[in-house]
Amino acid sequence: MTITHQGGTLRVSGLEELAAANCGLFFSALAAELQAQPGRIEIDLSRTEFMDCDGLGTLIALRNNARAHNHAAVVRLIAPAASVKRLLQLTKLDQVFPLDQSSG
Amino acid sequence: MDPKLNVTSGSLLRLELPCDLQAVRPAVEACRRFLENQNLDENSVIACELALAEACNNAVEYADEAGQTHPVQVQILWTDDALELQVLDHAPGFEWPTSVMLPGTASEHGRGLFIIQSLMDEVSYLKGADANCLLLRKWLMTGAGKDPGGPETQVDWLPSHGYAASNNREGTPVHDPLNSSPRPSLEHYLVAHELQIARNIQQSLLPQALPSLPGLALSGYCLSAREVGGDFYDILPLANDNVLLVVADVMGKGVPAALFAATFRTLVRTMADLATRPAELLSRINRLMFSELSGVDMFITAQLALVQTHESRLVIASAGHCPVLCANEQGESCMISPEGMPLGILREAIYKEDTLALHDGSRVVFYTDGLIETRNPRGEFLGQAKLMQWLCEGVSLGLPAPELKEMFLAGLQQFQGSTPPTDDQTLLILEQKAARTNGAEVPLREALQLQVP
Repeated sequence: MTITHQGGTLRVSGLEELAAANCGLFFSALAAELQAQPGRIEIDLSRTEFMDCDGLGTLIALRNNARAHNHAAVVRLIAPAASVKRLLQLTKLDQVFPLDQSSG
Repeated sequence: MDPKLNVTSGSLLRLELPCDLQAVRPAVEACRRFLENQNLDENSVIACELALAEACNNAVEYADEAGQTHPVQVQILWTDDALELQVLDHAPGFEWPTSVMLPGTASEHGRGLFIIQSLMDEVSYLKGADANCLLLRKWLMTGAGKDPGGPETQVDWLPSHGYAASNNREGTPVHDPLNSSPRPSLEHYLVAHELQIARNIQQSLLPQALPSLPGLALSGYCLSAREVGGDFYDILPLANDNVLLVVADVMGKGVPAALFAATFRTLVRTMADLATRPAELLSRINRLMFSELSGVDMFITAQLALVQTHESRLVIASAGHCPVLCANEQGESCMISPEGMPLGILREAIYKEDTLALHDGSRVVFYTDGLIETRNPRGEFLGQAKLMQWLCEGVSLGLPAPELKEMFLAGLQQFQGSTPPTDDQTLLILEQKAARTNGAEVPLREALQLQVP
Protein backbone atom coordinates (compact mmCIF):
# COMPACT_ATOMS: atom_id res chain seq x y z
CA MET A 1 0.00 0.00 0.00
CA THR A 2 1.36 3.39 -0.99
CA ILE A 3 0.20 6.68 0.47
CA THR A 4 1.08 9.94 -1.30
CA HIS A 5 0.21 13.60 -0.75
CA GLN A 6 -0.22 15.97 -3.64
CA GLY A 7 -1.56 19.41 -2.89
CA GLY A 8 -4.67 18.86 -0.82
CA THR A 9 -5.11 15.34 -2.14
CA LEU A 10 -4.25 12.20 -0.21
CA ARG A 11 -3.90 9.23 -2.50
CA VAL A 12 -3.78 5.56 -1.52
CA SER A 13 -2.90 2.84 -3.99
CA GLY A 14 -1.61 -0.72 -4.25
CA LEU A 15 -4.23 -2.06 -1.90
CA GLU A 16 -4.74 -5.78 -2.59
CA GLU A 17 -7.68 -6.24 -0.29
CA LEU A 18 -9.67 -4.27 2.21
CA ALA A 19 -11.19 -6.80 4.55
CA ALA A 20 -11.58 -7.76 8.20
CA ALA A 21 -7.98 -8.96 8.47
CA ASN A 22 -6.25 -5.77 7.29
CA CYS A 23 -8.73 -2.92 7.64
CA GLY A 24 -7.45 -2.01 11.12
CA LEU A 25 -3.95 -1.42 9.77
CA PHE A 26 -5.33 0.44 6.78
CA PHE A 27 -7.31 2.76 9.00
CA SER A 28 -4.51 3.52 11.45
CA ALA A 29 -2.09 4.23 8.58
CA LEU A 30 -4.52 6.75 7.10
CA ALA A 31 -5.80 8.26 10.33
CA ALA A 32 -2.33 9.74 10.94
CA GLU A 33 -2.45 11.40 7.51
CA LEU A 34 -5.80 13.05 8.21
CA GLN A 35 -4.07 15.55 10.52
CA ALA A 36 -3.04 17.37 7.33
CA GLN A 37 -6.77 17.97 6.67
CA PRO A 38 -6.82 16.79 3.03
CA GLY A 39 -9.81 18.03 1.03
CA ARG A 40 -9.76 15.07 -1.30
CA ILE A 41 -8.92 11.46 -0.55
CA GLU A 42 -8.55 9.07 -3.45
CA ILE A 43 -8.52 5.35 -2.80
CA ASP A 44 -7.22 3.55 -5.87
CA LEU A 45 -9.03 0.22 -5.88
CA SER A 46 -7.77 -0.96 -9.26
CA ARG A 47 -5.67 -3.66 -7.59
CA THR A 48 -8.13 -4.45 -4.82
CA GLU A 49 -9.45 -7.92 -5.46
CA PHE A 50 -11.60 -8.25 -2.41
CA MET A 51 -13.56 -6.10 -0.02
CA ASP A 52 -15.96 -7.18 2.70
CA CYS A 53 -18.34 -5.46 5.05
CA ASP A 54 -15.54 -4.56 7.48
CA GLY A 55 -13.66 -3.01 4.56
CA LEU A 56 -16.73 -0.96 3.70
CA GLY A 57 -17.10 0.09 7.32
CA THR A 58 -13.49 1.26 7.28
CA LEU A 59 -14.11 3.43 4.22
CA ILE A 60 -17.07 4.98 6.04
CA ALA A 61 -14.94 5.49 9.15
CA LEU A 62 -12.28 7.13 6.99
CA ARG A 63 -14.87 9.45 5.46
CA ASN A 64 -16.38 10.30 8.85
CA ASN A 65 -12.91 11.04 10.23
CA ALA A 66 -11.77 13.07 7.23
CA ARG A 67 -14.89 15.20 7.56
CA ALA A 68 -14.23 15.77 11.23
CA HIS A 69 -10.88 17.27 10.24
CA ASN A 70 -12.08 19.03 7.13
CA HIS A 71 -15.75 19.69 6.64
CA ALA A 72 -15.54 19.61 2.86
CA ALA A 73 -13.44 16.45 2.55
CA VAL A 74 -14.43 14.09 -0.26
CA VAL A 75 -13.46 10.40 -0.46
CA ARG A 76 -13.34 9.04 -4.00
CA LEU A 77 -12.95 5.42 -4.98
CA ILE A 78 -10.95 4.93 -8.15
CA ALA A 79 -11.47 2.04 -10.60
CA PRO A 80 -13.08 -0.57 -8.34
CA ALA A 81 -13.28 -4.12 -9.69
CA ALA A 82 -16.71 -5.47 -10.61
CA SER A 83 -17.05 -7.38 -7.33
CA VAL A 84 -16.24 -4.33 -5.22
CA LYS A 85 -18.59 -2.17 -7.28
CA ARG A 86 -21.34 -4.67 -6.78
CA LEU A 87 -20.82 -4.61 -3.04
CA LEU A 88 -21.01 -0.81 -3.02
CA GLN A 89 -24.21 -0.86 -5.05
CA LEU A 90 -25.75 -3.58 -2.93
CA THR A 91 -25.19 -1.60 0.25
CA LYS A 92 -26.18 1.66 -1.48
CA LEU A 93 -22.80 3.16 -0.61
CA ASP A 94 -22.23 4.04 -4.27
CA GLN A 95 -24.42 7.02 -3.36
CA VAL A 96 -21.89 8.07 -0.74
CA PHE A 97 -18.67 7.36 -2.59
CA PRO A 98 -18.45 8.85 -6.06
CA LEU A 99 -17.00 6.11 -8.26
CA ASP A 100 -14.32 7.03 -10.72
CA GLN A 101 -13.65 4.40 -13.35
CA SER A 102 -10.40 5.91 -14.66
CA SER A 103 -7.36 4.68 -12.81
CA GLY A 104 -5.49 7.97 -13.49
CA MET B 1 -2.78 -19.97 8.94
CA ASP B 2 -3.76 -21.86 5.82
CA PRO B 3 -7.14 -23.55 6.00
CA LYS B 4 -7.07 -27.26 6.51
CA LEU B 5 -8.71 -29.04 3.61
CA ASN B 6 -10.41 -32.19 4.75
CA VAL B 7 -12.18 -33.55 1.73
CA THR B 8 -12.32 -32.21 -1.77
CA SER B 9 -14.21 -33.93 -4.49
CA GLY B 10 -16.15 -32.95 -7.58
CA SER B 11 -19.14 -31.74 -5.65
CA LEU B 12 -18.06 -31.14 -2.10
CA LEU B 13 -15.54 -29.00 -0.28
CA ARG B 14 -14.97 -29.06 3.41
CA LEU B 15 -12.41 -27.00 5.24
CA GLU B 16 -11.56 -25.82 8.69
CA LEU B 17 -9.99 -22.55 9.65
CA PRO B 18 -8.59 -21.44 12.99
CA CYS B 19 -10.69 -18.86 14.81
CA ASP B 20 -8.59 -15.95 13.53
CA LEU B 21 -9.48 -13.15 11.10
CA GLN B 22 -6.19 -13.67 9.24
CA ALA B 23 -7.34 -17.17 8.33
CA VAL B 24 -10.63 -16.07 6.78
CA ARG B 25 -9.27 -14.72 3.51
CA PRO B 26 -7.19 -17.81 2.54
CA ALA B 27 -10.15 -20.04 3.43
CA VAL B 28 -12.57 -18.02 1.36
CA GLU B 29 -10.09 -17.97 -1.52
CA ALA B 30 -9.95 -21.76 -1.39
CA CYS B 31 -13.74 -21.77 -1.61
CA ARG B 32 -13.65 -19.43 -4.58
CA ARG B 33 -11.16 -21.64 -6.43
CA PHE B 34 -13.37 -24.65 -5.77
CA LEU B 35 -16.42 -22.85 -7.17
CA GLU B 36 -14.47 -21.61 -10.19
CA ASN B 37 -13.29 -25.15 -10.90
CA GLN B 38 -16.93 -26.19 -10.94
CA ASN B 39 -17.53 -23.61 -13.68
CA LEU B 40 -19.95 -21.64 -11.58
CA ASP B 41 -20.81 -18.34 -13.25
CA GLU B 42 -18.74 -15.35 -12.13
CA ASN B 43 -21.57 -13.45 -10.44
CA SER B 44 -22.47 -16.43 -8.31
CA VAL B 45 -18.81 -17.00 -7.43
CA ILE B 46 -18.55 -13.39 -6.25
CA ALA B 47 -21.78 -13.69 -4.28
CA CYS B 48 -20.72 -16.93 -2.56
CA GLU B 49 -17.23 -15.61 -1.83
CA LEU B 50 -18.60 -12.50 -0.17
CA ALA B 51 -21.33 -14.29 1.77
CA LEU B 52 -18.82 -16.83 3.08
CA ALA B 53 -16.38 -14.09 4.04
CA GLU B 54 -19.09 -12.27 6.01
CA ALA B 55 -20.21 -15.49 7.67
CA CYS B 56 -16.64 -16.48 8.64
CA ASN B 57 -15.83 -12.95 9.85
CA ASN B 58 -18.87 -13.07 12.12
CA ALA B 59 -17.95 -16.54 13.35
CA VAL B 60 -14.48 -15.31 14.33
CA GLU B 61 -15.39 -11.83 15.58
CA TYR B 62 -18.16 -13.01 17.88
CA ALA B 63 -16.44 -16.08 19.32
CA ASP B 64 -15.85 -15.89 23.06
CA GLU B 65 -12.73 -17.22 24.77
CA ALA B 66 -13.92 -20.83 24.79
CA GLY B 67 -15.20 -20.58 21.21
CA GLN B 68 -11.82 -19.29 19.99
CA THR B 69 -10.23 -22.64 20.76
CA HIS B 70 -12.42 -24.34 18.14
CA PRO B 71 -11.95 -24.09 14.40
CA VAL B 72 -14.66 -22.67 12.16
CA GLN B 73 -15.91 -25.26 9.68
CA VAL B 74 -16.96 -24.40 6.16
CA GLN B 75 -18.63 -26.77 3.81
CA ILE B 76 -19.79 -26.28 0.25
CA LEU B 77 -22.06 -28.88 -1.18
CA TRP B 78 -23.17 -29.00 -4.78
CA THR B 79 -26.59 -30.60 -4.93
CA ASP B 80 -28.67 -31.01 -8.06
CA ASP B 81 -30.24 -27.62 -8.05
CA ALA B 82 -28.50 -25.62 -5.39
CA LEU B 83 -25.22 -24.73 -3.80
CA GLU B 84 -25.32 -25.22 -0.07
CA LEU B 85 -22.81 -23.23 1.93
CA GLN B 86 -22.54 -24.12 5.56
CA VAL B 87 -20.56 -22.35 8.25
CA LEU B 88 -20.34 -23.97 11.65
CA ASP B 89 -18.99 -21.86 14.50
CA HIS B 90 -18.66 -21.94 18.26
CA ALA B 91 -19.60 -18.35 19.02
CA PRO B 92 -22.38 -17.74 21.58
CA GLY B 93 -24.78 -17.27 18.69
CA PHE B 94 -27.56 -14.78 18.19
CA GLU B 95 -31.16 -14.59 17.01
CA TRP B 96 -31.31 -14.00 13.28
CA PRO B 97 -33.44 -10.86 12.85
CA THR B 98 -36.80 -11.35 11.16
CA SER B 99 -36.03 -8.52 8.78
CA VAL B 100 -32.51 -7.45 7.99
CA MET B 101 -32.18 -3.74 7.21
CA LEU B 102 -29.29 -1.65 5.93
CA PRO B 103 -27.95 0.82 8.49
CA GLY B 104 -27.59 4.51 7.61
CA THR B 105 -24.85 5.38 5.12
CA ALA B 106 -22.70 6.94 7.87
CA SER B 107 -22.73 3.78 9.98
CA GLU B 108 -19.44 1.91 10.14
CA HIS B 109 -21.00 -1.44 11.07
CA GLY B 110 -24.00 -3.65 10.62
CA ARG B 111 -24.10 -4.63 6.95
CA GLY B 112 -22.89 -8.24 7.16
CA LEU B 113 -26.24 -9.98 7.60
CA PHE B 114 -27.83 -7.75 4.98
CA ILE B 115 -25.10 -8.70 2.51
CA ILE B 116 -25.51 -12.41 3.24
CA GLN B 117 -29.28 -12.25 2.94
CA SER B 118 -29.17 -10.21 -0.27
CA LEU B 119 -26.69 -12.46 -2.03
CA MET B 120 -28.22 -15.80 -1.10
CA ASP B 121 -31.56 -17.32 -2.03
CA GLU B 122 -32.14 -18.96 1.29
CA VAL B 123 -30.60 -18.36 4.69
CA SER B 124 -31.16 -20.44 7.78
CA TYR B 125 -29.37 -20.04 11.05
CA LEU B 126 -29.43 -22.72 13.69
CA LYS B 127 -28.33 -21.57 17.11
CA GLY B 128 -27.11 -24.52 19.11
CA ALA B 129 -26.02 -24.98 22.71
CA ASP B 130 -22.31 -24.68 21.95
CA ALA B 131 -22.21 -24.30 18.21
CA ASN B 132 -24.21 -22.62 15.49
CA CYS B 133 -24.79 -23.51 11.90
CA LEU B 134 -25.43 -20.98 9.17
CA LEU B 135 -26.83 -22.66 6.09
CA LEU B 136 -26.92 -20.64 2.88
CA ARG B 137 -28.44 -21.78 -0.35
CA LYS B 138 -27.98 -20.42 -3.83
CA TRP B 139 -30.23 -21.95 -6.45
CA LEU B 140 -28.59 -23.07 -9.65
CA MET B 141 -31.16 -21.87 -12.12
CA THR B 142 -29.41 -22.77 -15.34
CA GLY B 143 -28.00 -26.20 -14.73
CA ALA B 144 -24.72 -24.70 -15.92
CA GLY B 145 -21.54 -25.30 -14.01
CA LYS B 146 -20.98 -28.54 -12.17
CA ASP B 147 -18.20 -30.70 -13.40
CA PRO B 148 -19.79 -33.37 -15.60
CA GLY B 149 -17.24 -35.89 -14.35
CA GLY B 150 -18.03 -35.27 -10.69
CA PRO B 151 -19.27 -38.16 -8.57
CA GLU B 152 -22.73 -36.68 -8.01
CA THR B 153 -23.41 -36.49 -11.73
CA GLN B 154 -22.76 -40.16 -12.35
CA VAL B 155 -26.37 -40.85 -11.65
CA ASP B 156 -27.43 -38.27 -14.21
CA TRP B 157 -26.43 -40.18 -17.28
CA LEU B 158 -28.80 -43.01 -16.67
CA PRO B 159 -31.04 -44.30 -19.42
CA SER B 160 -33.97 -42.70 -17.59
CA HIS B 161 -33.28 -39.29 -19.04
CA GLY B 162 -36.27 -37.94 -17.23
CA TYR B 163 -33.91 -36.62 -14.67
CA ALA B 164 -31.78 -34.37 -16.85
CA ALA B 165 -34.99 -33.05 -18.32
CA SER B 166 -36.57 -32.58 -14.94
CA ASN B 167 -33.87 -30.12 -14.00
CA ASN B 168 -34.85 -27.89 -16.85
CA ARG B 169 -36.65 -24.71 -16.04
CA GLU B 170 -38.49 -22.85 -18.70
CA GLY B 171 -36.25 -20.74 -20.85
CA THR B 172 -33.00 -21.90 -19.31
CA PRO B 173 -30.33 -23.87 -21.07
CA VAL B 174 -29.94 -27.47 -20.04
CA HIS B 175 -26.59 -28.83 -19.14
CA ASP B 176 -26.71 -32.24 -20.74
CA PRO B 177 -24.29 -34.63 -19.12
CA LEU B 178 -25.02 -37.17 -21.85
CA ASN B 179 -23.52 -34.95 -24.51
CA SER B 180 -20.60 -33.63 -22.53
CA SER B 181 -19.57 -36.93 -21.04
CA PRO B 182 -20.49 -39.95 -23.15
CA ARG B 183 -20.09 -43.28 -21.37
CA PRO B 184 -20.44 -46.85 -22.57
CA SER B 185 -24.09 -47.80 -22.56
CA LEU B 186 -23.44 -51.08 -20.71
CA GLU B 187 -22.28 -49.03 -17.74
CA HIS B 188 -25.51 -47.02 -17.87
CA TYR B 189 -27.58 -50.14 -17.58
CA LEU B 190 -25.48 -51.63 -14.80
CA VAL B 191 -25.78 -48.45 -12.78
CA ALA B 192 -29.49 -48.30 -13.51
CA HIS B 193 -29.90 -51.89 -12.41
CA GLU B 194 -28.05 -51.23 -9.18
CA LEU B 195 -30.19 -48.17 -8.54
CA GLN B 196 -33.33 -50.15 -9.11
CA ILE B 197 -32.23 -52.57 -6.40
CA ALA B 198 -31.49 -49.67 -4.06
CA ARG B 199 -34.88 -48.19 -4.89
CA ASN B 200 -36.55 -51.44 -3.93
CA ILE B 201 -34.70 -51.35 -0.61
CA GLN B 202 -35.81 -47.79 -0.03
CA GLN B 203 -39.44 -48.55 -0.84
CA SER B 204 -39.27 -51.43 1.62
CA LEU B 205 -38.35 -48.93 4.35
CA LEU B 206 -41.76 -47.30 4.15
CA PRO B 207 -44.56 -48.76 6.26
CA GLN B 208 -46.49 -51.28 4.19
CA ALA B 209 -49.66 -50.73 6.21
CA LEU B 210 -50.64 -48.03 8.64
CA PRO B 211 -51.49 -49.23 12.14
CA SER B 212 -55.00 -48.76 13.39
CA LEU B 213 -55.06 -46.76 16.60
CA PRO B 214 -57.95 -45.90 18.87
CA GLY B 215 -59.23 -42.40 18.11
CA LEU B 216 -56.41 -41.66 15.68
CA ALA B 217 -55.97 -41.83 11.94
CA LEU B 218 -52.78 -41.66 9.91
CA SER B 219 -52.05 -41.08 6.26
CA GLY B 220 -48.66 -40.92 4.59
CA TYR B 221 -47.06 -40.23 1.23
CA CYS B 222 -43.45 -40.39 0.06
CA LEU B 223 -42.29 -39.70 -3.48
CA SER B 224 -38.68 -40.02 -4.64
CA ALA B 225 -37.59 -37.45 -7.18
CA ARG B 226 -34.93 -39.77 -8.53
CA GLU B 227 -34.40 -43.49 -8.61
CA VAL B 228 -33.47 -43.43 -4.95
CA GLY B 229 -34.01 -40.69 -2.43
CA GLY B 230 -33.14 -39.91 1.14
CA ASP B 231 -36.66 -39.22 2.45
CA PHE B 232 -38.66 -41.70 4.43
CA TYR B 233 -41.19 -41.95 7.19
CA ASP B 234 -41.85 -44.68 9.67
CA ILE B 235 -44.51 -45.54 12.22
CA LEU B 236 -43.59 -47.64 15.25
CA PRO B 237 -46.40 -49.01 17.38
CA LEU B 238 -45.37 -48.99 21.07
CA ALA B 239 -46.87 -50.29 24.28
CA ASN B 240 -50.02 -48.66 25.66
CA ASP B 241 -51.38 -47.73 22.21
CA ASN B 242 -48.57 -45.21 21.90
CA VAL B 243 -46.86 -44.78 18.59
CA LEU B 244 -43.66 -43.15 17.38
CA LEU B 245 -43.81 -41.21 14.12
CA VAL B 246 -40.55 -40.72 12.28
CA VAL B 247 -39.93 -38.39 9.33
CA ALA B 248 -36.41 -37.99 7.98
CA ASP B 249 -34.56 -36.43 5.10
CA VAL B 250 -31.00 -37.47 4.39
CA MET B 251 -29.12 -34.67 2.72
CA GLY B 252 -28.47 -35.59 -0.89
CA LYS B 253 -30.08 -38.24 -3.01
CA GLY B 254 -29.11 -41.49 -4.64
CA VAL B 255 -27.73 -44.65 -3.14
CA PRO B 256 -25.70 -43.10 -0.28
CA ALA B 257 -28.74 -41.14 0.94
CA ALA B 258 -30.93 -44.25 0.83
CA LEU B 259 -28.35 -46.25 2.73
CA PHE B 260 -28.14 -43.65 5.49
CA ALA B 261 -31.94 -43.56 5.60
CA ALA B 262 -31.92 -47.33 6.10
CA THR B 263 -29.31 -47.09 8.87
CA PHE B 264 -31.24 -44.34 10.63
CA ARG B 265 -34.48 -46.29 10.42
CA THR B 266 -32.80 -49.41 11.83
CA LEU B 267 -31.28 -47.47 14.71
CA VAL B 268 -34.64 -45.93 15.63
CA ARG B 269 -36.25 -49.35 15.57
CA THR B 270 -33.54 -51.08 17.59
CA MET B 271 -33.63 -48.35 20.23
CA ALA B 272 -37.42 -48.24 20.40
CA ASP B 273 -37.20 -48.63 24.19
CA LEU B 274 -36.11 -44.98 24.14
CA ALA B 275 -39.05 -43.95 21.99
CA THR B 276 -40.82 -42.40 24.96
CA ARG B 277 -37.95 -39.90 25.14
CA PRO B 278 -37.62 -38.69 21.55
CA ALA B 279 -34.96 -36.05 22.31
CA GLU B 280 -32.75 -38.60 24.07
CA LEU B 281 -33.27 -41.01 21.18
CA LEU B 282 -32.15 -38.38 18.67
CA SER B 283 -29.10 -37.53 20.71
CA ARG B 284 -28.08 -41.22 20.97
CA ILE B 285 -28.56 -41.77 17.25
CA ASN B 286 -26.62 -38.61 16.50
CA ARG B 287 -23.68 -39.87 18.56
CA LEU B 288 -23.85 -43.26 16.84
CA MET B 289 -24.06 -41.90 13.31
CA PHE B 290 -21.88 -38.82 13.76
CA SER B 291 -18.59 -40.31 12.55
CA GLU B 292 -20.15 -42.05 9.58
CA LEU B 293 -22.11 -39.00 8.51
CA SER B 294 -19.44 -36.37 9.06
CA GLY B 295 -16.84 -38.66 7.47
CA VAL B 296 -18.66 -38.35 4.15
CA ASP B 297 -19.99 -34.85 4.80
CA MET B 298 -23.62 -35.77 4.96
CA PHE B 299 -26.29 -35.00 7.49
CA ILE B 300 -29.85 -35.98 8.26
CA THR B 301 -32.75 -33.82 9.35
CA ALA B 302 -35.33 -35.80 11.26
CA GLN B 303 -38.36 -35.50 13.42
CA LEU B 304 -39.55 -37.92 16.06
CA ALA B 305 -43.07 -37.52 17.43
CA LEU B 306 -44.27 -39.72 20.23
CA VAL B 307 -48.05 -39.97 20.10
CA GLN B 308 -49.30 -40.52 23.64
CA THR B 309 -52.69 -41.78 22.64
CA HIS B 310 -54.25 -41.95 26.08
CA GLU B 311 -52.97 -38.53 27.08
CA SER B 312 -54.00 -37.05 23.71
CA ARG B 313 -50.68 -35.38 23.18
CA LEU B 314 -47.58 -35.40 21.07
CA VAL B 315 -44.01 -35.14 22.32
CA ILE B 316 -41.87 -33.90 19.47
CA ALA B 317 -38.10 -33.67 19.01
CA SER B 318 -36.44 -32.37 15.90
CA ALA B 319 -32.99 -32.59 14.38
CA GLY B 320 -33.02 -29.46 12.25
CA HIS B 321 -36.18 -30.57 10.50
CA CYS B 322 -39.05 -28.44 9.11
CA PRO B 323 -41.63 -27.34 11.71
CA VAL B 324 -44.64 -29.53 12.46
CA LEU B 325 -47.91 -27.87 11.45
CA CYS B 326 -51.04 -28.33 13.51
CA ALA B 327 -54.62 -27.06 13.21
CA ASN B 328 -57.85 -27.89 14.97
CA GLU B 329 -61.54 -27.48 14.22
CA GLN B 330 -61.73 -24.43 16.48
CA GLY B 331 -59.72 -22.62 13.83
CA GLU B 332 -56.52 -22.57 15.88
CA SER B 333 -53.23 -23.42 14.25
CA CYS B 334 -49.60 -23.59 15.31
CA MET B 335 -46.12 -24.54 14.15
CA ILE B 336 -43.79 -26.51 16.37
CA SER B 337 -40.08 -26.60 15.88
CA PRO B 338 -38.12 -27.93 18.87
CA GLU B 339 -34.46 -26.92 18.92
CA GLY B 340 -31.87 -29.34 17.60
CA MET B 341 -29.11 -29.59 15.02
CA PRO B 342 -29.31 -31.97 12.07
CA LEU B 343 -27.73 -35.35 12.80
CA GLY B 344 -24.09 -35.56 11.80
CA ILE B 345 -23.20 -31.92 12.45
CA LEU B 346 -22.08 -32.01 16.07
CA ARG B 347 -21.23 -35.09 18.08
CA GLU B 348 -22.66 -33.72 21.32
CA ALA B 349 -25.67 -31.93 19.88
CA ILE B 350 -28.50 -31.24 22.32
CA TYR B 351 -32.11 -31.94 21.40
CA LYS B 352 -35.16 -30.43 23.04
CA GLU B 353 -38.74 -31.66 23.23
CA ASP B 354 -41.97 -29.78 22.74
CA THR B 355 -45.37 -31.09 23.76
CA LEU B 356 -48.54 -30.54 21.78
CA ALA B 357 -51.99 -31.28 23.19
CA LEU B 358 -54.20 -33.02 20.65
CA HIS B 359 -57.75 -31.72 20.72
CA ASP B 360 -60.65 -33.45 19.09
CA GLY B 361 -60.40 -32.89 15.38
CA SER B 362 -56.73 -31.80 15.46
CA ARG B 363 -54.73 -32.59 12.35
CA VAL B 364 -50.95 -32.57 12.49
CA VAL B 365 -48.77 -32.47 9.39
CA PHE B 366 -45.19 -33.74 9.18
CA TYR B 367 -43.28 -33.24 5.94
CA THR B 368 -39.83 -32.77 4.41
CA ASP B 369 -38.44 -29.63 2.82
CA GLY B 370 -38.84 -31.18 -0.64
CA LEU B 371 -42.56 -30.65 -0.23
CA ILE B 372 -42.49 -26.95 0.62
CA GLU B 373 -39.71 -26.40 -1.91
CA THR B 374 -41.85 -27.77 -4.73
CA ARG B 375 -41.69 -25.26 -7.54
CA ASN B 376 -44.37 -24.12 -9.91
CA PRO B 377 -43.59 -23.54 -13.62
CA ARG B 378 -42.61 -19.93 -12.77
CA GLY B 379 -39.94 -21.28 -10.42
CA GLU B 380 -41.68 -20.12 -7.23
CA PHE B 381 -41.68 -22.27 -4.11
CA LEU B 382 -44.82 -23.68 -2.57
CA GLY B 383 -43.71 -22.55 0.89
CA GLN B 384 -44.76 -23.41 4.39
CA ALA B 385 -47.48 -20.75 4.54
CA LYS B 386 -49.33 -22.39 1.65
CA LEU B 387 -49.13 -25.77 3.33
CA MET B 388 -50.53 -24.25 6.52
CA GLN B 389 -53.32 -22.60 4.52
CA TRP B 390 -54.27 -25.95 2.95
CA LEU B 391 -54.21 -27.59 6.35
CA CYS B 392 -56.53 -24.98 7.88
CA GLU B 393 -58.89 -25.24 4.89
CA GLY B 394 -58.91 -29.01 5.10
CA VAL B 395 -59.56 -28.96 8.83
CA SER B 396 -62.38 -26.43 8.49
CA LEU B 397 -63.96 -28.79 5.96
CA GLY B 398 -63.59 -31.59 8.51
CA LEU B 399 -61.56 -33.76 6.10
CA PRO B 400 -60.31 -37.02 7.63
CA ALA B 401 -56.57 -37.76 7.30
CA PRO B 402 -56.73 -39.74 4.00
CA GLU B 403 -58.94 -37.11 2.30
CA LEU B 404 -56.73 -34.35 3.66
CA LYS B 405 -53.74 -36.10 2.13
CA GLU B 406 -55.56 -36.35 -1.21
CA MET B 407 -56.38 -32.65 -0.99
CA PHE B 408 -52.69 -31.82 -0.38
CA LEU B 409 -51.59 -34.00 -3.27
CA ALA B 410 -54.16 -32.45 -5.60
CA GLY B 411 -53.02 -28.98 -4.51
CA LEU B 412 -49.41 -29.98 -5.04
CA GLN B 413 -50.17 -31.39 -8.48
CA GLN B 414 -51.97 -28.21 -9.47
CA PHE B 415 -49.19 -26.02 -8.10
CA GLN B 416 -46.30 -27.77 -9.80
CA GLY B 417 -48.15 -28.24 -13.10
CA SER B 418 -45.90 -30.04 -15.54
CA THR B 419 -42.72 -29.27 -13.56
CA PRO B 420 -41.51 -32.59 -12.16
CA PRO B 421 -40.35 -32.42 -8.53
CA THR B 422 -36.57 -32.17 -8.12
CA ASP B 423 -36.51 -33.28 -4.50
CA ASP B 424 -38.20 -36.07 -2.59
CA GLN B 425 -41.59 -35.16 -1.18
CA THR B 426 -42.84 -36.67 2.06
CA LEU B 427 -46.05 -36.02 3.91
CA LEU B 428 -47.47 -37.66 7.02
CA ILE B 429 -50.78 -36.62 8.52
CA LEU B 430 -52.07 -37.48 11.98
CA GLU B 431 -55.68 -36.92 12.89
CA GLN B 432 -57.20 -36.97 16.35
CA LYS B 433 -60.73 -37.97 15.46
CA ALA B 434 -63.43 -35.57 16.59
CA ALA B 435 -66.41 -36.47 18.71
CA ARG B 436 -69.48 -36.96 16.50
CA THR B 437 -72.90 -36.02 17.80
CA ASN B 438 -74.44 -39.16 16.32
CA GLY B 439 -72.38 -41.21 18.71
CA ALA B 440 -70.97 -43.38 15.96
CA GLU B 441 -67.55 -42.56 17.24
CA VAL B 442 -66.80 -41.90 20.87
CA PRO B 443 -63.87 -39.56 21.44
CA LEU B 444 -60.85 -41.29 22.78
CA ARG B 445 -60.71 -39.70 26.20
CA GLU B 446 -64.38 -40.38 26.94
CA ALA B 447 -64.09 -43.94 25.71
CA LEU B 448 -61.29 -44.50 28.17
CA GLN B 449 -63.21 -42.94 30.99
CA LEU B 450 -66.12 -45.25 30.25
CA GLN B 451 -63.87 -48.25 30.47
CA VAL B 452 -62.39 -47.24 33.79
CA PRO B 453 -65.05 -47.17 36.51
